[in-house]
Amino acid sequence: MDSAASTSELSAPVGGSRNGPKAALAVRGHWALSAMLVAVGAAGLWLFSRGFLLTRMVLPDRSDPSVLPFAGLPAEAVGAASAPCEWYPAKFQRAVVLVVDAMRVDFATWSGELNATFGAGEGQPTGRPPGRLMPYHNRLPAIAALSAARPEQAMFYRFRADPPTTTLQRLKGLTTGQLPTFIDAGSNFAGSAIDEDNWLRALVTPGCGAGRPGRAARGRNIVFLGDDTWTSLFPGELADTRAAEDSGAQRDTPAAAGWARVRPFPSLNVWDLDTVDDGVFSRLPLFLLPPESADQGMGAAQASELRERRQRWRQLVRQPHMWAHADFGNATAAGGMASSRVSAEQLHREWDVIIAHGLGVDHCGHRFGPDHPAISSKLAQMNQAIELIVDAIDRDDTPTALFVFGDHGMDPKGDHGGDSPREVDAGLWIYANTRWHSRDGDGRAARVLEAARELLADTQLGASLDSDLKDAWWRNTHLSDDYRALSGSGLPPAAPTHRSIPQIDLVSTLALALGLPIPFNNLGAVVPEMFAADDGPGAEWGLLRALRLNAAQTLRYIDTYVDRSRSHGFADDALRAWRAAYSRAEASYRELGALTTEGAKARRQQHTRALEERAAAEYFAFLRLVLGSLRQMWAQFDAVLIAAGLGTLALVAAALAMLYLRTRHSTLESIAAGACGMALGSGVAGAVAFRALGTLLVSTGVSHLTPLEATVAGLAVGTAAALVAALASGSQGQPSTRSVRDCIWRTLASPVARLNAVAVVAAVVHALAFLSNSFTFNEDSVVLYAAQTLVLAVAATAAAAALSPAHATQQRSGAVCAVACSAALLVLNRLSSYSTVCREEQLPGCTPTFYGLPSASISTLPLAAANVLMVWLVPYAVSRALRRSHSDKAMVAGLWVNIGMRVSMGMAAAYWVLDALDGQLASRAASGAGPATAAPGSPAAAAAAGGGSDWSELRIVLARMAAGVAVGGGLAAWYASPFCLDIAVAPALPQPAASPAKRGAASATPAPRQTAVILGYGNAFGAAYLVFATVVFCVLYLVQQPMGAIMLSGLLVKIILWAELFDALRDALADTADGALLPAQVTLLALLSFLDYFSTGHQFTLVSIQWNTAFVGMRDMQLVVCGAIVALNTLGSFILAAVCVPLALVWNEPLGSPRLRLAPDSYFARITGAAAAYIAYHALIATSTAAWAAWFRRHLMVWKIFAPRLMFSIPVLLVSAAAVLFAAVGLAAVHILRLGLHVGSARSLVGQAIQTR
Amino acid sequence: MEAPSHTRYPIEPNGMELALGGMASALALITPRKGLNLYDHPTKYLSVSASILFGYYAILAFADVYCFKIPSARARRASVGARIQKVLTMGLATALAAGAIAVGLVLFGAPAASQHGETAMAAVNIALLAVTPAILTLKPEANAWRRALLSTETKTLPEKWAAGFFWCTMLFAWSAALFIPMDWDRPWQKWPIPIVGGAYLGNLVGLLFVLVRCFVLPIARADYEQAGRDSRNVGLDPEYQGPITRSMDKKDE
Repeated sequence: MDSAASTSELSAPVGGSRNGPKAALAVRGHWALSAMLVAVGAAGLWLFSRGFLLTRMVLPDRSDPSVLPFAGLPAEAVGAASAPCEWYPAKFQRAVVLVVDAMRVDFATWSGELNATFGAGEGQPTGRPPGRLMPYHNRLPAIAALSAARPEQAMFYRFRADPPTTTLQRLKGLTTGQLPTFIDAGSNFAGSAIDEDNWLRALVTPGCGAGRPGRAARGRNIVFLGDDTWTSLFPGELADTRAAEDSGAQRDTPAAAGWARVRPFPSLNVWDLDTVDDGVFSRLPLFLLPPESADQGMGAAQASELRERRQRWRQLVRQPHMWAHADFGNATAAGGMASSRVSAEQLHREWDVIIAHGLGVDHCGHRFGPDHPAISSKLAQMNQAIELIVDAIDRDDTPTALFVFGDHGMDPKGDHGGDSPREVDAGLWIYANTRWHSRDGDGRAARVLEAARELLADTQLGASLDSDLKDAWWRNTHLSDDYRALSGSGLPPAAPTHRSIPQIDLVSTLALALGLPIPFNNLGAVVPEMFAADDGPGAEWGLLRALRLNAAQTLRYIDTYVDRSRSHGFADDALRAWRAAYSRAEASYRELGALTTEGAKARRQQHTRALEERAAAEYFAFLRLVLGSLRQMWAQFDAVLIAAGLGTLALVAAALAMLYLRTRHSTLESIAAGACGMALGSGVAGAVAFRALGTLLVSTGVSHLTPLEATVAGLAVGTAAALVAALASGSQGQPSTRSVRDCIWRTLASPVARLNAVAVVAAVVHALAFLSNSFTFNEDSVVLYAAQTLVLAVAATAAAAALSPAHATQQRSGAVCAVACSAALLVLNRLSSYSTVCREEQLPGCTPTFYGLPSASISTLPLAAANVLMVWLVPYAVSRALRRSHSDKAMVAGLWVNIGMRVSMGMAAAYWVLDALDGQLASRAASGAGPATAAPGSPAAAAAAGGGSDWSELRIVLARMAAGVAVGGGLAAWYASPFCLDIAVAPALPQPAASPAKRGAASATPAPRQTAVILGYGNAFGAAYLVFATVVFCVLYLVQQPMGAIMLSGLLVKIILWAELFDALRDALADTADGALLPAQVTLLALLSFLDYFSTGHQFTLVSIQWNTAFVGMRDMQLVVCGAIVALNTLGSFILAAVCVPLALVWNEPLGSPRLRLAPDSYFARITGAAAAYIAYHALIATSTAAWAAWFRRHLMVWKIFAPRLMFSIPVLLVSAAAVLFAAVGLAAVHILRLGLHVGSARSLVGQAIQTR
Repeated sequence: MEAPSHTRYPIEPNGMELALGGMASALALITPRKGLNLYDHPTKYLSVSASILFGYYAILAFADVYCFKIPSARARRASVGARIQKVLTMGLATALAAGAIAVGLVLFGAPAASQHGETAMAAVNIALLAVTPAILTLKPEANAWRRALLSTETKTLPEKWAAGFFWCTMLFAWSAALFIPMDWDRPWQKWPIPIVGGAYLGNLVGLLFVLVRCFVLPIARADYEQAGRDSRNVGLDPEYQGPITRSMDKKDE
């Protein structure tokens, strides 16, 4: 006891720690152990991820346009007399690539049956009348109409995406021709530049471009408009050159470089339906149409027609303020997009490739879902744009191709990212102003595809491929499903079939059609129709030539990959099968070559044609074989790293449990002194040993550990093992003579041990849930079940204590309180399980309730209004909890809980009300501007886009002030004076009445007539800590959407109940063994944190991350801040629960607590022990997810269910650990304990004069 | 020479309830019912099951044969009205228990907004299987129930009886929830069939457990002890006779 500490007066705690001597609380041991455990745990997670989520090796090689891929032979030697810079003579000189983000295949098709059955019913402004077309049906008629009118110029494909269906991943695939690897999926927030070869790089590479005649040997001129993901992927290729041209710097660069005009627009604001599209469509005519300055030079009729087309383009743009941009500054040659070197006329004449990426449809899906009328107006806009682009390229003589495609689809809620059919099925439409395929060619292509399918079916590997690779035709089941949904019953008509290709097929097709080399990494096959009608160089059939180039490039890639990567992970039999397929195709090709050299006449003969088709089919089958088997086996698992990571994680979980056990008897300083040195020594020894072992493993080919990985693995395993050993050796060993039966009987006999056993069962139930995909995706139910089991067990224990006649009255009243608290917890837990965003796998047995309406993906207004109730309810609940110990009379409590908290929460709630109102207005406006009245640029459309933009500033101010009040006001006030203590002068009460149980008062000797009473004495530490927790709560409350905010409020209330429950239970069981109930207590808290993770609108899937909360209080996208906000939103329940862990011990800890004041270090050690036990739970879950993900690494659903779950358990564990060890215990608990020791000593000075209450 | 059976054991165990109980619960679950399929009409099916079970318990309560003893002469003389009152008391208490169990089911995640009939019928069945044996054997006092169901104190035979059925049924029903989320697409995975099935299974297991714990072991022990010593009676607490007989006895007095 630090009786030496002296503070002169009672108000001293305010500045106590600064003025007085340092309180006797040693925290170095805590920090040392925490840092070590967190570091080792993080290392374990890192190791496991490195082994489990291995990335594909990125090869830096590039395809050289002047070197054909045939085994390094120069182009001439292969017999094809092509021009030196082209692998395949360019079919098109120019291309327009229009990406309509999230254009699902059934958005782009046109179904006469649907139209005939359900009429051309326009979506009504509100909702869809039954039995009418969905708002997305038949909204792109231009595609179907043009395909029918000019069958040899257009073709439509189902365009299957490789999951994950996020735009970033898709763009990588669509430009490099590669498969995505899982680890990339998380980096959608920060796209980084592509290192692999891709067709954009080939486009801009000067020296071998074969643009138009006379412009060979220079890089192409690129125009890019739209989604800024492109510019983050291609910062070098898509760099605007206008400034350089104007400054004259262009002269210094090689003249071979082309110009580029790049206008990226922000992609992350998914609520903005129009800005990106408007930006694209306002600028497209600058390139597609002659400049206005050229109008004088042409006839009046022509000029007026041009004006009319310009007018139609103008109408596409919905936001008038778009035109205020400098790009449209004036019509002079120097203004707008033109530069001093490249005139407006040149911009129109000389562009080679235009890439336009509109996000409106995707954002419309995210915001309103595909069933909302807004999508039909958005699609109508796209339809007009397609018509106008086709019109523009038709007027041009240069062979120009138009590729219109969606990079992915959308699920029934309008989201994407997963691999459900509606997410992966996008549409592709290829159109050109020349005839690029023919009936005859298509027939031959179909025969090739059919032959390839048969070839694949013959081999075992080929038969196991995904069906989209085997079948070139796909039945549009989405239309028939919709038909069934619309009609309610009855058989749908036969679903139309479409040609189907994987998305990466675009890469080689586009590259060869534009005369570019196929990117080095490409795995796709060319679209056969594109080349089947051609005679390639040397009278060779075009398709054969293209496929041979394609296959040779892919084989070259595989050979290089195998060569470079020591453990490439390709199965030997797969490699053998690939090589066999390729050599078979080569053999057929040589046979054909022998035939054709005999005479050109033979070429026309049927026999030759059949041979050509067979060779082409063999090449095609080879390509599909490679793609399909790589899809299956590209995850390269490293067993050594997986084992090291899992071992470390398990050891860390064990060490945490040991630490909890040790802290019951020892101080942290003594534990750390024994453990840290040993752990470090062992870690270094392990690192050295593993380094050596790693070299051995690598040389034997078992693993491909890098030296860094080997070092970290050794360090982590060594440290963790030593920690466990050191912590275990110091703990008081159980007498081993006790029999198992005796052990079980003791557990059953003691209520405390029984509860802890139930807690272990609950934890095991939760941990074992990950051994089944069903339990993993129903984890919300599992957690509820486990939590309710535990609470019910607590309730039963308390009830038994309440009914036991042997117990004292005080015990019984505690037991009754515990029963009441657990009953409330049971009900609140069930209520919070009501709120959910359902996982795709849970449908249709699950109804999403998080946003208020099942179909909504933004919160509804009533929900936001209900959230306002929390502004009153939560501070009331907190002050109610404080009132039990009279802590609510104190200044901190009065100012912060009653005023500050309400202000902060009020502003946050107002923010979300405005947000929901905005959403509602925008939705209504968007419905109003339905397709019937879809005059783009109309006021309604403008309102849809800018609805509520007047409030956006207000919202930002509200959000920032809410956070400011919480952090600047609440946290500062708490830091300065955390204790909710006050002194009242009260008439001396007769002794018995003055002590309503322990929390009410620790009574001193009776005073004469009046006494000074310390209010809030009984729960001094608990109240002080709770104030801190409420400050954290306010910050988290702000970044939760309304339903999430309500549920987070529920979590805070539940945590208060939880603290009260176990305190009462301790009373009821007369549990003098300090912290014996902790395992049950922290298990329940951890279960609550998981339960409310789900209720705050999250699931362990990437799709369910609420990206739109990134902009709470933000005007623009700032990566770090926005990322932090999303993290706070996602991990809110875990952070709040972790912060509240110390409440397990400090709740109802009186100011003069002897156990604190007699042995502060032991007391503090027990708090750390509670934290360790809490983290042990999360570590157990993380270890279990990792172990089962590794176990199921070849499971069908590993990338869909197990791996995402693992990915989430990493931040959950690390953030929980950091929050509880560093923030909660290391800073907040230490702060109040130190101050509390001073206050305690001050009280001893004042002594007998003060009666406490 | 043999001692009369009732002198060998303080409470004369009556295996009839066990045999009948097993048959009744098996009957309740699996009797073929014309045109009534558990998977298609779980509510109706389970209500029939509950009726069979309830009938069985009602007969026991009416005949006063539950509670381990041959009905005493006094009990046999009890009036029809008193017997009916006993049945009604049993029914009311079971209904209360069923209500509590229904609330518990919803708290553990049963659908709250739909499938009320299924949940109610599941609760009634579980109450009949788990709680009614306790209702028939335990005094209507909180402490008696605590002693029997929530404590590890040494128990009398009726308490063992009640606890055996209660905990086995409850634990099996609890763990049978495991099958609900599985993606096997079996018709029996529909709510509430797994937990009701678990409850019936648990009831049968409880029956075996009670049989061993209350009859086989005591008899074996008594035989063993008797073989060692003279024919002095050993065994369990002879005082308690169960609430219903007791009230009846009082009435008679």
